[in-house]
Amino acid sequence: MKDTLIVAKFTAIEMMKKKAFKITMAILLIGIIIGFNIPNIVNLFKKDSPDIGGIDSGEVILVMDEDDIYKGSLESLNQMHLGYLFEITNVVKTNDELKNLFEEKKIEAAIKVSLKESEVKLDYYTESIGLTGYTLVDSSIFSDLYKNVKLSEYGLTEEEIIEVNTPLSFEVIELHDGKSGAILTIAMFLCMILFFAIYYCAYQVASSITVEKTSKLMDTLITSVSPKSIVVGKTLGIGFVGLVQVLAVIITAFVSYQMFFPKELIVGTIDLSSVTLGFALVSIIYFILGYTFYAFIYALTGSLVSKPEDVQQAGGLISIVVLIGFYLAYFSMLNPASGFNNVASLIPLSSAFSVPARYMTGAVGYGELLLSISILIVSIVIVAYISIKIYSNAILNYGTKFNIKTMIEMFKR
Amino acid sequence: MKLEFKNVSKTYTDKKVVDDISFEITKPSIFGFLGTNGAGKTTSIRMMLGIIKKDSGSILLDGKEINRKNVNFGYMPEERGLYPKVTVYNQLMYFSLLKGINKKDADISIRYWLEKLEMTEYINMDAEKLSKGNQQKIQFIIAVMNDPDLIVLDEPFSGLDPVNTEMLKKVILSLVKEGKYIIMSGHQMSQIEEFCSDILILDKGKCVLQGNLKEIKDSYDSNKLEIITNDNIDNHLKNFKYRNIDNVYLIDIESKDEGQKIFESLIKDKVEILKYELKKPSLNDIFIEKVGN
Repeated sequence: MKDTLIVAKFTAIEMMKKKAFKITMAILLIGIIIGFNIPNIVNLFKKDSPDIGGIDSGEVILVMDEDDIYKGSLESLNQMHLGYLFEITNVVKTNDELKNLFEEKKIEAAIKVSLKESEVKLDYYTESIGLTGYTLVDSSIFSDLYKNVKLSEYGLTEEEIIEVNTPLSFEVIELHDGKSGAILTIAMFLCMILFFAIYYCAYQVASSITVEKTSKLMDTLITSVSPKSIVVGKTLGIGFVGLVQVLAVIITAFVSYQMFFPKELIVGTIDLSSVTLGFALVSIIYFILGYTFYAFIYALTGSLVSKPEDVQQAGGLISIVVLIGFYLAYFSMLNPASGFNNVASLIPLSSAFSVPARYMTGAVGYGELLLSISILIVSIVIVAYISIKIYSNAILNYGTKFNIKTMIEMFKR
Repeated sequence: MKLEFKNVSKTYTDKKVVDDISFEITKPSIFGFLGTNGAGKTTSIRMMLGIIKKDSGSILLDGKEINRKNVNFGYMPEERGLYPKVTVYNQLMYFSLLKGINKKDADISIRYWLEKLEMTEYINMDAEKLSKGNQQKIQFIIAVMNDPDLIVLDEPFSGLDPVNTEMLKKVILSLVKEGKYIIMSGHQMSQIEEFCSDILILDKGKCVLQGNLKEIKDSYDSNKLEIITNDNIDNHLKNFKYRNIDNVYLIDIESKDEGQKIFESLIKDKVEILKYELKKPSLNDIFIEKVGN
């Protein structure tokens, strides 16, 4: 045990001393802080808005209604708080004139209203249509306004028009606690964080073992300490660093959110009330177990290769397995009612990604939680046993091409 | 202390890499463990150090089956390496702790050995920045810093310049004086010959020669005659294979008698002989005779 801890301490310290580690962490944490500050940064660059009819952006959309098809009702656009100042005119600009207005940044968009064979036609002018064909205003607003004009022409009073336009009330009622959609956003985000953290850290185990093997260190190392202590020590050391990284990310995100992020932006989208101590505990347990499970698999991979450049190739197959586990958890989560969720929570490949997120939404009972953890622990013991056994035999073989047959042979030795 | 190999064998995938070898070391000395590439030296050493399991036979230390827990050994492997981005001090400390030395004693031992091998100035340097020879000296320190009773040195001088080779030779000899048991493997026969009292030669996993080096050499008849003279003696050597470099003649002979006949012939012809020496075969000659094709 003492040897294992010495290996773990050495691995963790040397990993944290690496420039690559320090730079990656710095970029990650700065990225998080900047990410939570994006709304504030955007606000810094917003133009000062004129106080016209509740318009808040100050950006102008020119609406050209040459034939007064809307009978003056287009002015009401400025009372709808659509975020833009609508400049209404009955003069139609030419394309060149519009180009000049765009270049001089006097308008953000222009809309020409015309009649074509008794139908209203809207031409939307923009500087660039982009990939998505996104427009600043929705055409349905103009449809509704035109409908109101026509209804008024047919003799309906203003009250009758309002009554006709009253939308239907459509509400989705969740039988759970009525906010799983908001929780699910965080749950899926968490699923991704766990995936990246587990994948990155477990891969480091393979990389670390390969460095020792390719640096011709194994003979020296293996006469000083048992293979079991090396594999378990490395897993512990890198796992500890990984946990520190995950906690650093979470703490930085939490502090940045509290300090910088405008809370009104996520009302109804994200619900942080579900981030409880129990949830944090479950997440940490599953990070540790999920990481350990994959770390032992990667340790086996690392011991089989002889050159650093072969790690990625050898790890490719394992990466596919990790991805399958992740996608099984992720796509099951998209449909919380799916039976796949239970399967994903019990299979060791995916349970680490699936259970914490499902626990957050309240979909996992204690029985299922206990069963999932038990299966994962048993799987870790089995994988560790196989991995250490093959590692012990493979680690001193340089240049041997490994395949399933040789691996089975090494396991039997 | 007594180290015994008794009928030890090891097979890898139908290939017997070590085949029934036996030897023993009973006193502090340097034991030469020789063989061509792939002869089974490294496998034998790995079995001795408990890195890999033997298939049959026994490896005993003071009569007890050897394992990594009951012997304090040091090993400088043929496959040498250090953590490239770790400082000299940190990796020496790491291996010291793994070998069970406490931090305080390890610090003393590290500084002692670095000074002894004139490496103190590199104490905080990353290993990748060291020259190959200096990296090798660090490897040597790793092997000896835990004050082991049994030290296995695989090609200890390869890659070292003459100055560092001499330095390491002195250190190794001083370790023997301190009572250490050293097993040295290598291909440089002159160095083995200079150091080792006993040797074992492996060929394709089998022991082809073993014993006391002096006794082995004594068992061979002289096979070379060296004559230094200022006269030309080519006509006396017509029936022999020889080479002449600056009037130093090295003549292949089959027995002492042949040398005697040449000597008598030269005296009869009043040749001025500056040096006459019958030479025993070198370890290199013996090695080639035993394992050469």
